[in-house]
Amino acid sequence: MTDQWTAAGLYGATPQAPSYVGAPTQALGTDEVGTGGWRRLVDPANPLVWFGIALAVTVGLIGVAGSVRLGPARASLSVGE
Amino acid sequence: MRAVATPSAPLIQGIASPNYRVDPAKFYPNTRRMRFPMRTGTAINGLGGTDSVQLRQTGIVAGLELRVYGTLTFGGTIAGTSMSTEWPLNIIQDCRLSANGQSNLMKCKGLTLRAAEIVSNPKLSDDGLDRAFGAATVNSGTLAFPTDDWGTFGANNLGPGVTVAATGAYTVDLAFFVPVASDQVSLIAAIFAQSQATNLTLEVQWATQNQILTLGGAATLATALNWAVTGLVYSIPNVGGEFVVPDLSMFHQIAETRFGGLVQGRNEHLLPGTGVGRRLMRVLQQVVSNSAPVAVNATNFTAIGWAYGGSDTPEVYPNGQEARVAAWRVAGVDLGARWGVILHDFASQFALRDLVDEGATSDLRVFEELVAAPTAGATQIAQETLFAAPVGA
Repeated sequence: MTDQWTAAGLYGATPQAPSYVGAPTQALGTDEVGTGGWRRLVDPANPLVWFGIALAVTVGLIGVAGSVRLGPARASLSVGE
Repeated sequence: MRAVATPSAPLIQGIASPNYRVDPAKFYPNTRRMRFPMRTGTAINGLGGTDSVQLRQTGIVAGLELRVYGTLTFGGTIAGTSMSTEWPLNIIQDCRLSANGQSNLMKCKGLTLRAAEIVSNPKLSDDGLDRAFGAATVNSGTLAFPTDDWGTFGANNLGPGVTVAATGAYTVDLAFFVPVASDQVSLIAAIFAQSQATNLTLEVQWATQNQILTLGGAATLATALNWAVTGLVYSIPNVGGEFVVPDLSMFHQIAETRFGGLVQGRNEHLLPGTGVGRRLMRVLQQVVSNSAPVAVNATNFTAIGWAYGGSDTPEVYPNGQEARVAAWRVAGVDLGARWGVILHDFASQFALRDLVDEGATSDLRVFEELVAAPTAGATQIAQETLFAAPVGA
């Protein structure tokens, strides 16, 4: 915006809140709680969740192990041991 | 299921509107100035009557051109017939413009409209134009335009305080400009009209016969006056898929108030309607004695100024003559000599520096010191103000 052509620039008027440019009206009136705050942190859609899991596995904080046996054949897999 | 809120409609000047972007830099090169009739020439509703027109809901309205024209036909025996000192400009006794819920953005007489136009447009001048004024013919300070016809029938002319010389049909043609935007360049305070929700109404109250003339006992008068309104409107351009508008966050107001009971010595008038968020651009004041303007000079005024708070007096002219000179320097027209217009101007030279912030000047008032007590003394005070759009008038 060219300041010299605004009421603030020409007349020193206090700039008005631009209710009509990108106003955050989306947050109003939803019937769902939890689109923000701590729930967003644990939302699987949040990439940080997966980064955190990978980090925890790497440092050994969490792990998972399992094995499968079918007759003489046996397979096992472990992550984070 | 996640519900998505429907965004509330964006607002411009309190009116729900599609998505517009305030972007003066893109608006000015892309808009188109338009001029079209809002009211084609129509007979007025008679002297003392009121006419109104609802303006078209298009674009951004920056101003209205108002024309009053027709004839005054005097018949019978003309003796004892004279025009009042309100003729011709105050044929408009009250010009009222309401817009988008803001009642009375304009509320003033024709003389104030003319003086405000002259002050805000220094190109306009009345110098060298002969006009009948009282018993004389004068050529400066009349506030006349060369395009004006103040009443002409052959060699006879009408004017303020002029005795009507002969019966006949006198032609009249007067032009007024209603400044909707505070500045015709930046268009700040123009009115957003591009919406079905908008409501713009111009109402004109015409002077009564007694306000503009005294009719001799055996004289008759037939008026055939018309009015026409032309809108000065700017289109809302679409730039890169977005509609852009200039800064419309303010409204522009000229509101006139009358104070009576003037006395000899100091008279102070508290300006009505001041408040936070409002900025005073100009005050146009006229003192009348027995309905005739009191000329602004050293003989009539010993001081003119404005003040606020307890006794803060930022500007005072030591006599009327100096106030008159200061007004002439700003306007290029001698406002005070004949029409008695006192001007306090805060907008013409450098508005950013000079405008009076009404939020910081409580009890804002103007004052004048009169040498003599006027007869039935009264003063008309017109305030030209800018205020934030969502705030009430």
